[in-house]
Amino acid sequence: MLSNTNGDRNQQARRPRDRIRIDKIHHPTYIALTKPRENENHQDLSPFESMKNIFMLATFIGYNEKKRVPLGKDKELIFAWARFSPEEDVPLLRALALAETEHVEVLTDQDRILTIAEEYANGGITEIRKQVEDMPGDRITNLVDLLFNWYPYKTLV
Amino acid sequence: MKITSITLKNFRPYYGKHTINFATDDEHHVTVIQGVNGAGKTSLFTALNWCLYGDDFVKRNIGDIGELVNRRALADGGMLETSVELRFTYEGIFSDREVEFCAKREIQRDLRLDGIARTTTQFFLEITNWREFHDAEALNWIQAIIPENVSVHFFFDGEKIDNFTRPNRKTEVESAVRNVLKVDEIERGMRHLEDVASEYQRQVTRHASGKLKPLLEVRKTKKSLRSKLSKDIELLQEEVKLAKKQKRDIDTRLEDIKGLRKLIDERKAVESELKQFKNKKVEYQEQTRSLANQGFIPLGKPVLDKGLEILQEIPTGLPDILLNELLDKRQCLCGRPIHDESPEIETILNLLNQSISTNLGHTAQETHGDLKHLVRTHVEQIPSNLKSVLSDEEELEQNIRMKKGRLDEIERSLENFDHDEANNLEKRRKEYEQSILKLEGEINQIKGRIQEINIEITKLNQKISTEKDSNVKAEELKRYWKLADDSSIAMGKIYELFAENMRGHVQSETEKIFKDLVWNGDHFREVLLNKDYELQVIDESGENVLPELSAGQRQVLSLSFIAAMAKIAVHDTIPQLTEEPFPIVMDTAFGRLSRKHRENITRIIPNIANQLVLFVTDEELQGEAKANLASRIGAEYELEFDREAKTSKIKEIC
Repeated sequence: MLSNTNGDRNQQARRPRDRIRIDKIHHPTYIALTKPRENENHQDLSPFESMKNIFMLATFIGYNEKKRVPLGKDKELIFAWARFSPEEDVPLLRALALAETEHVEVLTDQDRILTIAEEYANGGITEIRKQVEDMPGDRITNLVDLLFNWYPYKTLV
Repeated sequence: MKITSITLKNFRPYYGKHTINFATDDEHHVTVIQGVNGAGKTSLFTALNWCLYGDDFVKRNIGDIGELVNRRALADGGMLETSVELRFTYEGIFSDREVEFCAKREIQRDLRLDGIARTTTQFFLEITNWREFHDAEALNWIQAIIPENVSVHFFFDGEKIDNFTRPNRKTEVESAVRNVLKVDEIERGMRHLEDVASEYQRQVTRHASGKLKPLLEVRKTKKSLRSKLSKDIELLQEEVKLAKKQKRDIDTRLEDIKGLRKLIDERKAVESELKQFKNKKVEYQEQTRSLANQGFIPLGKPVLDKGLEILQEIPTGLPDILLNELLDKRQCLCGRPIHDESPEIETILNLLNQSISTNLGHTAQETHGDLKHLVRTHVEQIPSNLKSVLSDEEELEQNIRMKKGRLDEIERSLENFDHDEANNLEKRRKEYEQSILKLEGEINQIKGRIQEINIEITKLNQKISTEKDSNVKAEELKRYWKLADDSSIAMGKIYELFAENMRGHVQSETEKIFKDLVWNGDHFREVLLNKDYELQVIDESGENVLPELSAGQRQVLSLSFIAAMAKIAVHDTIPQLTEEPFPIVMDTAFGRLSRKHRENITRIIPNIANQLVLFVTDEELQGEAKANLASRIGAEYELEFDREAKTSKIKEIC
């Protein structure tokens, strides 16, 4: 489980990748889910406050569904690493990389952490689009319904 | 430039080593090298040019490079060296002193191996007391001191020199004027400025894309649309305000109708409660969204568990920094010194193998704490809070439905109330209510549109800003472009003036020298060098008689032309042109000239160059011609060809 730390030291010397990438084909979904939709008499709230939140949910839906899909040729940069909160997002992404690789060295390998998350998000985003954006009705309600399909929400139903 | 000496070794007819020391004294600067035909004059002339400019000269004038090697030396076998060493002085490098140069070009042939010749050639140039240069670098120096295209006008075969004066030879004349008087350099400068101007023009085109104007137009349209929509909202809001006032007025009038006051008051209270419920509903929706947006944290429960499991297995031993320090100091943790073979060293190495880097250790520790915190505070809390908010919202929805039901009942009571005015008022009130709802819907739609326009304007502003920066760059480039263009035009004018000036100088000097040299100078009125660089000789009747000139006269005219350029290049009034004079080296100097011409030329020519080397046959230089040069001759050699040995020898006469 532990390996030589030289690789880790080399990694430290290089500036890590900073921008989060998604497949270009999914960019319209990210935009739609962060944009209010006009109803007859009022504007509803967008289901997501930020693209970062969509990315994080897509990542963990992708992981739980075991859908890790490498990114294609055409990519879109959507936000910077700094948008991840150090208290919740970063530890979660590190835990994901740990669970995926089972090597503790991955904790300081930002490039690898990002690549793993991006590939799971690439697998999970389709489910969010289908269940939240494409489904009729209020999109926040659709989002809540999606969450309650998964553990530990399921236990509360 | 003055040529000091030339040393030939196994070069063409010269077997072994032979040296000629040239006359360099200011007063006695003429060197005469005399020999019968075939004695080796042209070989000496070739040696000078081969040494300076290499094989190309030989290929153009002799043919095979192998012809340079002396045949007798070749027959000797063994290691064979064919070389020419030229020593000269030049003042053009350091302004304060004359510098000595030694150029040597050599062919080495190893004939020892089975008759297969191995040939190496090399060229080097030594600048005395300074540096030595080889091959291409050495040739660059030579080209800088006396370019080959300039040297052809100073080291020449007298018999071939009338090229300048044959009909339709303006190209040769123009090229001589350009090369010797450096007109080309100004032209090159002009072309360089034209290239610079073109490059700036290209960059201006690239930077000034012309996109700014359309972008500004689009932004203007968007802004005016936004302004129109804002005014539409204001109008709609006025309508809403008016409808609400009408609705209130109706309520007041309904209150005044006997028996309705209680009902109207109740409706007011229910409507007020409904308004509060709706506000509360928005609040719940925002809470729901916020919790749902954090919903990924509980979904990460499996990775949190797995991560914690892995991190718990990380050894919590001594940090690598401390272990490395102990190793470096050969010291135990207790402070006791240890040596390489002691068991403590092995223990430290084992611990070091199991340890992880301090940085990684710190990250792992930090992550472990964060994950535990997330599991404790978020994983169960978020779903539970979400469930609670959804439950509150559901309860609120029930209350809203109840209140709406009560409002419907009140409405129906008012519609069925036995009072015509009350029925009409209630009907109108309902119309106003529907109108208000419709208007507020329209206002929301327009607000949404304005929001979109604002995003579009923000993006346009970014593009406009980038485009403006680019335009500023383009403006700056335009100024450079104009400067380069103006400079190029100015240089063009300078070039025209300079070339015209030079042509005029060459013309008048050529005429002057020609009239001095040619025995019947009075017969010719003037020598012209027209704008097309054609030399013309005009006789007393005003006719161009160049085509009718004899070969000797043409040779004299060519010499006059070269001498004129040599004089202008050195003594011209334009300071930038002032150059160190070049020596004049003439092979078969006076071969085609009549006695009278020879006498005239030998009288004048020592004054034209600062060093003169003449290769002549015994018949070319005798009598008065020889006497004219006698006082200026500083060195004189005779070349002798041994017919039996087929080799030439150089014999110093004085």
